[in-house]
Amino acid sequence: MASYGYQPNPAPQPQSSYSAQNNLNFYQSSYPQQPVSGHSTPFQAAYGAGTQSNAYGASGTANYGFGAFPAQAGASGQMGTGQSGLRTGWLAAFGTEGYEGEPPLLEELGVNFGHIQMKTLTVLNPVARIDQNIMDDADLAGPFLFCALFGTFLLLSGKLWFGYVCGLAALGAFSLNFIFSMMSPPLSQDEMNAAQSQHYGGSNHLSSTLTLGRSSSVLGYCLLPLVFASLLGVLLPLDSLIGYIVVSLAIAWCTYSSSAMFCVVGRMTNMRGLVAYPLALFYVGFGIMAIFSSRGTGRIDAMKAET
Amino acid sequence: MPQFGGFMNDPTAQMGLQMGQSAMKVGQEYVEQNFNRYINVSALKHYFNVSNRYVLSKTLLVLFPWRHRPWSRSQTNTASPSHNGSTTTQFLPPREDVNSPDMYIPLMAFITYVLLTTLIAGLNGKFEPQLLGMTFSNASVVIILELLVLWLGRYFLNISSESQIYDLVAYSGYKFVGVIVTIAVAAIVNRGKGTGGWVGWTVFAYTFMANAFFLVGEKSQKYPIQSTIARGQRSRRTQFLFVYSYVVQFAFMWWLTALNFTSGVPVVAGGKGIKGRWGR
Repeated sequence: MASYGYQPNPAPQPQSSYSAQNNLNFYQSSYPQQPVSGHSTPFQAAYGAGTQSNAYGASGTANYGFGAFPAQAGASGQMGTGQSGLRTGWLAAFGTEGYEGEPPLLEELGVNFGHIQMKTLTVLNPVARIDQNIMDDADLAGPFLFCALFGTFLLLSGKLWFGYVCGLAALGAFSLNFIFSMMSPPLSQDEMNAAQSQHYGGSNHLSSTLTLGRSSSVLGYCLLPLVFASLLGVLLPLDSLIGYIVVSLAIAWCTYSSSAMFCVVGRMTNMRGLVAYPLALFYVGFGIMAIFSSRGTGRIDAMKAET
Repeated sequence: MPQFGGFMNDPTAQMGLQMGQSAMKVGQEYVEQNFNRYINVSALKHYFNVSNRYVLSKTLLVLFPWRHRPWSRSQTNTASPSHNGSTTTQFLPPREDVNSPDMYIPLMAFITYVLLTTLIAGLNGKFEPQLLGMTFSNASVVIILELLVLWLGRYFLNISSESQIYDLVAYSGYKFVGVIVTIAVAAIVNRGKGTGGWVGWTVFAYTFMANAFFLVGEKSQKYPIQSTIARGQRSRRTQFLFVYSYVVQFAFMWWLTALNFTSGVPVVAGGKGIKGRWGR
């Protein structure tokens, strides 16, 4: 990684000489040179508390983003001029390099394909044993993808029902989260403190190990068998006997895997049947949508026959 | 570790970020407190503390309440957490007491009702997703009206029992079980042509009577007819209980079972003896 004027500096480094080395300091600092270590100002002390500032000071390139932050160069000239580590030049503008040490985009977005694949396989495999920590990173990327696929297959079979799919998914996620939070055993005080201090996506005021994020994640992943059923519905109308059987099997599969996951994640042992019934209702809602799309009811064929 | 771009490293921005975070945290706590004021979460948890055996026996109880003997809810004397040394009596949770009301069955029955009517409408070729919403709203209106009736009755009759609003909500939901049975049986027998015909009305009458009997049994425990209150008031209470259990429930259950979906708009079937026409 070519960086102009970048010198790998050891940790304690006088910042003033650092900026002097830099040839590309577009905006000269108008502040007097501060003494050596970066702790002279309170801001500096606060910010430099972690190891970040040292590492940043060391590896922040002297490359100053052109025209980006002139005022800040002045105010925090102490930080070193290598604030924004972007390369300049029109070739770099068309490139994909970013700041120094920036994580890849997918990792920053929280989309972890390895986890997605692992969870999908767990759903698809009816005899898999479910680890209790499988839902610790409750991502919604997989669920969104599956809902979008479901809507797309419904579209391909004749009905533009994305809105209804979305509405049913949202309503179901909220109410199922509420029900299962009520049904799960209450948290002990230690678990409450741990949950509060860690700030998973949002606090959990229903005194349960289930949060809305986790519930939605489980529900979305377990929608996968119904996505397959709706894919089948593109090819043949589901409003027939074989369609009913396929969709019923898909619903049973969804319910089976999601009830297993909920029982593990929500620590509700011995309640699997009671957990499974609301989930079955939820997936029956989706199943109804899959069966009764117009291709499924044969309406399109009927309309064709009329003309 | 992630190195952000320019503006995030500015200490001013950093402080602003921290202030924003703490403001959000304060706001969230405020919302939580108010949320907990409206919905008492721990009390609600009591109603969902059910077990398999409870659900099965309670459902059978709602449908066949004739031979059930002890209708009283069991109580335990537990040490009160707030006062030292004194004990408060609390009702046992549904897990341990069949007579205790729960909210799991009514809620499940409600959702099942919505889905079942939509499914049957779909089997008749009349499905549209708005049906889900319309049925849901209809059933919600029924529940709200019933709660209104109960609340007014409690207000006018000075019934100051310790029944909370949650108990009333729970009891008002049990009729959905009977409604579901009626609709399902009628759909199977009539091949989805509606709840008209003698089969539909017979099942409806039966489930209605069962539900009413069940409610009288439960409510006579909840509104205890003590000997200390005046005779006039006692008879008024019994009248109210009777009227509520039989007449009001009849009206609501009939409303719930008689929705037709001809031409996509729910229309209540008119009068006795008219076959509901759901077909194309």
